[in-house]
Amino acid sequence: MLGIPTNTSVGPVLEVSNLSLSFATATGLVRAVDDVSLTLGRGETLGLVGESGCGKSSLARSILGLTKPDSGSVRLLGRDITGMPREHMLQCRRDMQMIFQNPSAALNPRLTAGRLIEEPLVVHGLGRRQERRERVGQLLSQVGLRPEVAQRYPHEISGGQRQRVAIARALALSPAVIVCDEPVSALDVSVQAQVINLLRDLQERLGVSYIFISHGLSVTRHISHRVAIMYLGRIVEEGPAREVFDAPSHPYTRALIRAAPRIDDLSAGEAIEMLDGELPSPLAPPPGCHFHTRCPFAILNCGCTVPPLRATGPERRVACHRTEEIGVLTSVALHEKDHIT
Amino acid sequence: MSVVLQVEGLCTSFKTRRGLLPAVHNVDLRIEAGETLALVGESGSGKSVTALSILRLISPDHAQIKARSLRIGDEELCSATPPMMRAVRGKKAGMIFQDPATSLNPVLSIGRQIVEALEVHAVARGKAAWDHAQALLERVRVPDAGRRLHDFPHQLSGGMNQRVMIALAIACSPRLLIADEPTTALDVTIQAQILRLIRELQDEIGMGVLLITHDLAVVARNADRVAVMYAGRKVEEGRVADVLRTPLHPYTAGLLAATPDERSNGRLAEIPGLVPGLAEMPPGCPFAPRCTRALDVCSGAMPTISGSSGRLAACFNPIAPC
Repeated sequence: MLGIPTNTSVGPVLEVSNLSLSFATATGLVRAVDDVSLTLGRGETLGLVGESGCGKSSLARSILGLTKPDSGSVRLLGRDITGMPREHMLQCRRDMQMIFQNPSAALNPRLTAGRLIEEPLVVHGLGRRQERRERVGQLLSQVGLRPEVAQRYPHEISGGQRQRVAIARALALSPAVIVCDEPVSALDVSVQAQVINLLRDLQERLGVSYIFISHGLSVTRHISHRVAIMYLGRIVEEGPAREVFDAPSHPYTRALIRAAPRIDDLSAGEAIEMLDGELPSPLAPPPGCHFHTRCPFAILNCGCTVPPLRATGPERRVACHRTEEIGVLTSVALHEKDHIT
Repeated sequence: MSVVLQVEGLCTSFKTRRGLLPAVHNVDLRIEAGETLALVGESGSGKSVTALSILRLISPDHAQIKARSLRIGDEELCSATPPMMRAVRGKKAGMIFQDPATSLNPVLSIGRQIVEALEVHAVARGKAAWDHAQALLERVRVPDAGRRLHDFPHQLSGGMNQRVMIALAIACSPRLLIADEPTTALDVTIQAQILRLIRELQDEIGMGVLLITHDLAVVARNADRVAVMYAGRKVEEGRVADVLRTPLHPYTAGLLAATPDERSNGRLAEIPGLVPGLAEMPPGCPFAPRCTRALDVCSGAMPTISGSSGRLAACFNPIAPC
């Protein structure tokens, strides 16, 4: 092997504390990420769910150090990597890699799959040529590709195979964390299942942790241990994936899950409760709770004070002033709901 | 019930350097007024080519489109001339696409674009057309429609632009609406709004809808019947509940098993291999090389689609007798 150190530390591999990130635009400041705190354990998958513009990709980019946050910190394997100088950052990237939605755009079309997978090893000066070639062969078999794929260019292989090459490339340095930004959204259902299974197998075998960003709720539920739901830059709910999806607490999470189509939901034509209106502009998010303008449970206070993300169970956090009341309210008969809201 | 779309024996082949490559092979479709038929398949299955062929939106320079019969409403369009098709598109059949931003003209206000459609089909002119355009925007629930008329597509969100596309498609109260992945580019909550809007307008106008999608979950809630396509052929058809609960074709069953849902845990079922390209279509059933139920006969002959009372499958070894 190439003497790549394996992570043996206990505790979270990644710790994000009070991270905020804003972008200056012609019409004002956009708070893309607003005071976000997260932890990621070893061998764990954290699903990051939200609609476009909620800040999930911005959060991922600042975790990776690709965008410098305004405030807050990111600790990778116990080291604070925020504001780290470039040359040290390169070292840290060995422990944190990324997979993107569109492998065709992420892979250099002029390099063969073998060269693409080898490149991170070259950049980090790891191993001699022969050792690197062996490692490439090993990585190809890990992601379920035949050795001859090493000689192919990205355009010569299928979309699913390209995503496997991107995964092999991300694995090359044996990172502790891989940030997956919509890794299966561009793939067909049958190929999507292959890639999801591969990501899970690799996690079991290598103990790698994932931050899994997706707008697809059923895929996220399937692959994640824990999920965090984002709305306009803030985390509104967090908890074990199954618990959050089965019994969502935050009104936004509830609406999101209800809106998502499901195969076993055959109530064709029936009216379902759904959110009205669109996502407010991130340039001028509503004051107080960002969601109060679309929330059926909003009261006066929701438009004034920001609800803190607070614990509502051993592993669950919710940012809503009325969580407890809503829990009681929605357990009463449906026909009474009109009086309450 | 009146039939709004009747397609029999549709074959579309692309003209390439390697000769004619069939993309759609002998497809029959039938949609009644007020009904939604979902056309489901993965990329390359021919579902979009089917829709484009129905409206002749593929140039005869690039493709050969043949059919025994192709009726929209009571008009036989099998040998329709280009001017006849122009009168059909937008008037008798509306179409919305996946990406409204590339379907709308970026340099014309949305009001102007709707007015253009109304004038072309002689529904209204001038001031009356603008009033009609505003009414259409209100009908697709665009807030503040009077002011929005003068906005350009880039000033609207993806969801709002899709509403504008729908307003354009229903401007002449068509009998048939073809919606090609209308919500694939939209967020979950907006997707639900748009699909509900299409359903409501369908009830108001009584139009038939051909809903093209790759997402079986979208089919579950939003269609009455579903036709599954694979490699240019219709492999299964039936009422949505029947097809999703008890699929007959191994491909449909594979797609359902590969889709994660509430109950899925651990490994998802994979369909090994890939959809064959147009040029490397295997002999016999195109799904046979990936099929776990394939028999010897499957690699030699193509099964014809058969069944009774609208429950059809094209398979020599279906999961249940059809």
